[in-house]
Amino acid sequence: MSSNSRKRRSKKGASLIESALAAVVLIPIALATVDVMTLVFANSVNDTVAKNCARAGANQPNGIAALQAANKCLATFKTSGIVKTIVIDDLNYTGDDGQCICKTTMVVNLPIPFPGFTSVTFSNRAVEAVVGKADADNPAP
Amino acid sequence: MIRVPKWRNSKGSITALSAALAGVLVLLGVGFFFFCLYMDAQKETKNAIDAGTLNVGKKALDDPFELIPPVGDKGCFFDVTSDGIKNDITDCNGKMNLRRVNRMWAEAMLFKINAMGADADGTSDKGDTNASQALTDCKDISDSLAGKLTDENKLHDYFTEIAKLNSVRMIGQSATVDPIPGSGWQTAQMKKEGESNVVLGGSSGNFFPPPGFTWNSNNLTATTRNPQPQGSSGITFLKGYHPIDLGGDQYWQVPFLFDEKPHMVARSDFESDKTGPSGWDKPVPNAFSAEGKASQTGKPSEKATSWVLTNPRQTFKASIPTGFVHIKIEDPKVQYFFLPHVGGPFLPVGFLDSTYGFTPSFPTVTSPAPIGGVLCASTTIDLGLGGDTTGRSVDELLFGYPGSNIANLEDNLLSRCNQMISKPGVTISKSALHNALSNVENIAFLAGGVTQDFYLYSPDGEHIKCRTLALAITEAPWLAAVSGNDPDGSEKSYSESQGPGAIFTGEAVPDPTCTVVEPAAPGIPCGEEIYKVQDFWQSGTGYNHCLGQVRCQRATDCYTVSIAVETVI
Repeated sequence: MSSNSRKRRSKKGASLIESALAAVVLIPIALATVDVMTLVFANSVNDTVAKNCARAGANQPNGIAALQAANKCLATFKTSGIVKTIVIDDLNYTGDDGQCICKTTMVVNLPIPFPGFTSVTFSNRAVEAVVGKADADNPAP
Repeated sequence: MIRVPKWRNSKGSITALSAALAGVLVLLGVGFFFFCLYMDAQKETKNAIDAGTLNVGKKALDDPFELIPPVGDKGCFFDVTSDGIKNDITDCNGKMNLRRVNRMWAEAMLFKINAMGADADGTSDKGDTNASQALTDCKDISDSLAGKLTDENKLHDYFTEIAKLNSVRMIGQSATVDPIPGSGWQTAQMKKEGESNVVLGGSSGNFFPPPGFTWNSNNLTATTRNPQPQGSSGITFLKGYHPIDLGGDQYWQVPFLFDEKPHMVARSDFESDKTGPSGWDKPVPNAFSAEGKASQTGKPSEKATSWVLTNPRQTFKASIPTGFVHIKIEDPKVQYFFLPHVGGPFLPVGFLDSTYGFTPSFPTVTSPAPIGGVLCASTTIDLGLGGDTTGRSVDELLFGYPGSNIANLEDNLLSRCNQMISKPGVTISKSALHNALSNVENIAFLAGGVTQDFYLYSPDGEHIKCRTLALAITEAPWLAAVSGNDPDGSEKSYSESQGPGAIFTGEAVPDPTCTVVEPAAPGIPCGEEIYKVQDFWQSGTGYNHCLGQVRCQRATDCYTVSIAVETVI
């Protein structure tokens, strides 16, 4: 009878340890999911910024106005703790070819940084046909 | 018996649960990730298709096109195959496209309006036939262009040109955008009854139509944009997708709202306007739809459709850029009237074909015996001819003293001059017309006997000039080929008038046994010149570039009174 008592291990705290171990796995997965969702969303925003800036520039009559319009459009997108910076890398208004090409770069801070993985940089390019170029020889009356 | 409770072995239960939960979480996370990728891919695809479709709308303005030769069949529309407004024929490339199609319809319309004005005046002759031929030609070109614009194969490249440049990497790193041929590529006729991009010269109340023609205000409109854009105030446009009925013939315009850029439109708006305007069998479209897909081999693809309303954002004026009016100043004529007996009547006596020039001349004229005056054998008069022509410009010769009743000719010329103007917003006023006709260099050409033919034309689409052919060609080279064309209407006399001119002296030879009492002595005035002017107008529709011809006939009638009486011995 006494040997059986010695052999029966104490089960106190077993659940806690199992929960802790499970948490070590589950919590990073959950946090990583949050990070992934943020990145997907940020990429979508970057796409939208590039497209809108290209469209705004394409509606202008010349390159200078196109850049001004694109910057004005960019200003409507606010940075935050997550979207660290968003800039127009290049706006190429090729009036002769009739294209407005806008390249944007967005730096996103991961909401839950991992060691060595605190921010991600997104680049995107959008191309729109220029529709705003007025005919210098035949302006509106 | 002692019952020992059976305890379940609870070792590892949370671990198992956690493992299961972790697995579910990972699955959900991955699933959600791919779902987001899919949604993002959809958005990227839509953006790329939108960009490609916008480019289709923009490029469809210039290509496809119909080629028009400079002469011959349909050549009457060659002068509107340019985007310029300076009447520069070297700008014309013969390409009739969506950007210019309204110019062509407007020019055909002007031919018809001129024919209708001539009809009202009874001077149409071949004008109606030419206007009908122009309408037939215009329809042919328009129908062919409409056919090309509705052929999606001609537009795929414009779609791909821009769509492929947009990123669709959510589909895959090497995903591309391609058009999907088929029912997704359609056309529509949007903004019916909206303004076209063709304006009339003048303003509401006076668009300088030819006499006998009145504009139906139902065919005209101000901009339909709300709010009205800057610069649109006071401008009158032709209505688009609205039958402009002229004498039973229908003319058309495609609506391009003032200063509106090509832009995307909603599917519902596009679909509701796929039926063309009633009466136009093959309407030229102004809206396009395009369908494309983003795909990569081995991965799911996304497709989307977009709709665009195009607009050249360029305003033209209804004009006949290479139209001209020929002005011919005939040799002035002189006729002599001698009073043969008491009480008249005056009879022309010989010299019916005499002419004089544009410099002073002083002929001495003797009436042929025996008729020279009352009981006069003959009368010799000393004239000073040219008082009505010397140093006078074309304007003064046409409209100057003793001219009167000039309104009809003036209105016809004013109407034609405004049809030569291509620059929107520019109007030729009466004073501008008379200024052009008063060109002083023409006085020298008349005085020098160089030429009596002049041409009224617009060298730059903005001004009008009246010059000799040799000088006009230096500014408007196109005149060289067409200056010999006659107007297609018939001639009618306008504005015949006369008034007193210079008086002159003379000497009478009495009949035997008679004594001259009038003129009392040589050197005493015995007669008066009467200046006459008659302007003829021959209407032209402009189909062969000739918008009309003015022929000016100046004349001087010389009336001499010589009286002798029986000598009382």
